[in-house]
Amino acid sequence: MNKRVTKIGWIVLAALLCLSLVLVPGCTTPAEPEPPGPACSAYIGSGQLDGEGIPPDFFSDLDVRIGCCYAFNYETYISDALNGQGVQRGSPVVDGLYGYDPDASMYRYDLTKAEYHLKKAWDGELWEKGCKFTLLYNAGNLPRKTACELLAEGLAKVNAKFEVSIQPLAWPTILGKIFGTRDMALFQVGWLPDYPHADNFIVPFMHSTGTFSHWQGYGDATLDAEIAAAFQETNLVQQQAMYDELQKRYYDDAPGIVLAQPIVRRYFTQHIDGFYYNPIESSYAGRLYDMSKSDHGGLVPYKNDGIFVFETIGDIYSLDPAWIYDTASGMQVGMINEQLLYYDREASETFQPLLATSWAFDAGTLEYRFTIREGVKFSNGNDLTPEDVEYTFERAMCQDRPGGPEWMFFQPLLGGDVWGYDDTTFADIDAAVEVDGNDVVFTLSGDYWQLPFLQVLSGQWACIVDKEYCISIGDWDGTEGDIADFLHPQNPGDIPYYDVPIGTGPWKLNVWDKGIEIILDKNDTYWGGSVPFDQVITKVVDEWSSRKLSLLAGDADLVYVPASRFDEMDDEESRLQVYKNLPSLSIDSFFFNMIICGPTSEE
Amino acid sequence: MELRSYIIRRLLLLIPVLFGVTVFIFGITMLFSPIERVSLYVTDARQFTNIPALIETYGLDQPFFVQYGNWISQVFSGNLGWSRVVGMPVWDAIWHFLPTTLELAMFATPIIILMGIFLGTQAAAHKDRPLDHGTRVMAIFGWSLPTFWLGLILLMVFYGYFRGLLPPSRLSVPMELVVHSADFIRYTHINTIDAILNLNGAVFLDALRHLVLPVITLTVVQVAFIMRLMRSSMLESLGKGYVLTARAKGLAERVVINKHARRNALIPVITVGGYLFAAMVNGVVITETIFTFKGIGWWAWQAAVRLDIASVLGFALFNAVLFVLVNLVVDILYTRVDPRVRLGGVMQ
Repeated sequence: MNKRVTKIGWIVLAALLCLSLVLVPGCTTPAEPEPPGPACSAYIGSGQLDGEGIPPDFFSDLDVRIGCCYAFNYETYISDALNGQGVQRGSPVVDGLYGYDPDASMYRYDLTKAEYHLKKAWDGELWEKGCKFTLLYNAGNLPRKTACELLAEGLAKVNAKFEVSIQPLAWPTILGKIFGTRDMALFQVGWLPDYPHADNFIVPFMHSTGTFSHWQGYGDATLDAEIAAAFQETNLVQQQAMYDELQKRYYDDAPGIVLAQPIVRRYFTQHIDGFYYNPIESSYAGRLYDMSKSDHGGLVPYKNDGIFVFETIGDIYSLDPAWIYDTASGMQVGMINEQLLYYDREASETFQPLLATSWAFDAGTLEYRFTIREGVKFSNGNDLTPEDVEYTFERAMCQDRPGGPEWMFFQPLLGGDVWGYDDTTFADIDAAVEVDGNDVVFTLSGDYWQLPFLQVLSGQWACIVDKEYCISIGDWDGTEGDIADFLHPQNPGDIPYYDVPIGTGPWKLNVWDKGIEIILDKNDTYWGGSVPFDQVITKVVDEWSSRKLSLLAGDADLVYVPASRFDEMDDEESRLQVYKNLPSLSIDSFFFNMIICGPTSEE
Repeated sequence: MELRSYIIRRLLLLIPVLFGVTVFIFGITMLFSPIERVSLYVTDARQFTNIPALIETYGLDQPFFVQYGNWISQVFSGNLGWSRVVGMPVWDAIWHFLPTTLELAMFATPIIILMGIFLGTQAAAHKDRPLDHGTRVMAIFGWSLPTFWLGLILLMVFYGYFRGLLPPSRLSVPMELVVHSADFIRYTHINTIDAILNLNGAVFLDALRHLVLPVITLTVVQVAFIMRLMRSSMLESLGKGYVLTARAKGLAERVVINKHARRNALIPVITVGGYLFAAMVNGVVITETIFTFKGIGWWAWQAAVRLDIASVLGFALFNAVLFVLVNLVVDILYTRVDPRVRLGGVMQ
């Protein structure tokens, strides 16, 4: 062997080891929280109100926040960043949610008003001395970049001494700053709902423990009480008034700049019929069971008869209803398994029966009684029984994976303090869901859950699994003694069910070629009648050009089109079937950080 | 030195290499804060509230040695961890994505090497004449083309303009259903080979049809590499005494070039050819992504972008082993091409 080469190899290796050891000491201890003061953040200049920076509590001044809200050009944002595909909203409660106030007041781009408020801010000191800070956005997200530029531009127009610079950072780094070091002046994040209810947006945005409000230092006990009161109000007229009030409160307090509710589109080939849009539907393709495919001629060739091909981005992590908490996996689960009930087409507050034929709520005993449909079979031939339903919900709560959707069962069934398995006992979980003859009875923690609980049950996490089958593949056996092995799993694969699902739905799993595609076959024993597609194929295609060409060649029936490509697709509109102006139930928003460098998550 | 002990020594070298590589990669990823690393587990905005719980669950705030120790003890128990980005164990993911890349490398590498050798020989034989200049300019042109640009152009022409002629991905939908049906046995998961083994002509042709564009892309971009090497090595050989002798004794120019000069000029090409194959097997990210030909490169790229550390480490281990093995094979091949080379560094 060549001695010199070996020697060089060893030297390189030693150098690598030394280098990594140099790197290591910095990582053995978690980064020390830096002392507050001028140097606490690299994004607030001097850290003082001296014209060279901003103090950490800069945004705790209401006039600063309102001034910023007036200095943001919403119309340009919608036309430039969203290609016109958005509608401004006054509060995080967007159109389509229960509790939305169509008359909510909102800020308009008005530099005179901005000037008025910014002159008042910090007793005039701000106006005189000016300020400097940096806005961060996640690299590659053009709408967020545009939003930062518009805010910087607006502030500079009001007073040339307001200097705002812009810097891109990787998304994980931004996430680390919002929920960790808290050294950003403002942050921009989007939110989407679990179920279409105002509470699902108001809590993260306004509650003192909310996902965003907590990290920006907004919210207090009084406001928390008002939020709870609004949610718990059973007089619906009164409840709407309380939600209107909370939306007005968001406007008055201006803890953030609510940007816009995006409007989305769907591009199908003209061979697909029956699409309708329900914004809460997690399937990008819509409810495929109500759709069909046949040759309608036209410029895009008709291919793959009887097969629905969908090309998209976004990975599928698991096919276990108790695990999934993302739309890509949810879409697949929603075709293989079924819920007790589901939203009635476009509705968000009325429901159609699926595996339950009827349901009734008793406000006195807080019992929600669901009558289970008879004669339904799982795709493996097993009968659907009320025990399966009981098992499904208990299994989910006894699995309670970290970061999972199970809190939505714990909250309505076991009370507002219970967020996970560790906050309760198996006996309580067991008692919350009981079989009674052919019925399943849920005991709620409050009568105000009457509507939201049905919305929760319409989510993909509430899809029913086959108890007998689960036990046979080594999943949780339904007893308390077996929970330890299944509680808080780290990886989807820790749950045997994750890639071998069995459901009652119109389709069943043929093959899940992980990271590449998933092929579902028609379930021949489907209880609901004939199934429109023999196969439903979902392919993960990262490259946009490839997706677009597939659609135009007829190889795909639907592809995921990001909003930034809508302009490009305008040229192809005559060949395709385009659904426009579909409001999405989401909102992007700026949040003012009122306690920059506040206590970090470790404390 | 005996061949066997040589091989054993080289394989033993793998242990420090693997240790060094993994410590190094682990060290680098530790530069990211726990919250940055937890973003992998946050698949949805709705999980933001759970970030502290997720960090604790996955032990991301533990000291370096604890986290590395956990990982390495897991490895010794035969578990490389969980690949989040594709939802399966890392070990399975390597075997899941390797066949696709192998299929690509299997077709592209021979084409690139043979074309490179042929063009290089021609260029050297016609040094400074139009043929030489022409090949060199073409090769450099191809070498300088950005892969993504070339790939997209090919896709737009052969899939967009000629509607559906040469499609992306590995198989068309009907053939995919055939491949996934019970009658079709997937021996290797390399579609062309499986099609032959199952005697299924339709699948074979369909798989070839899907291979054309990615293989062309790789060839155009990579061929200059081999061609230039072959040309300079060939020029060196052509100046040697034995070529003069061969010409002097009146051999035909074709025989002189193809037999005497070319064989001797092949050694550097074999070295580079080995690395070329290894480089292809460890992934051609851009080609795999543009043509939705998802192989190990695509997987590693996704893992790296999303800080899926278990996957990145698994990939690094795979890579290190692959390179050490390829190196070994190339060394052994030398002795076949040039009998003067003896392993152990003794030149006779």
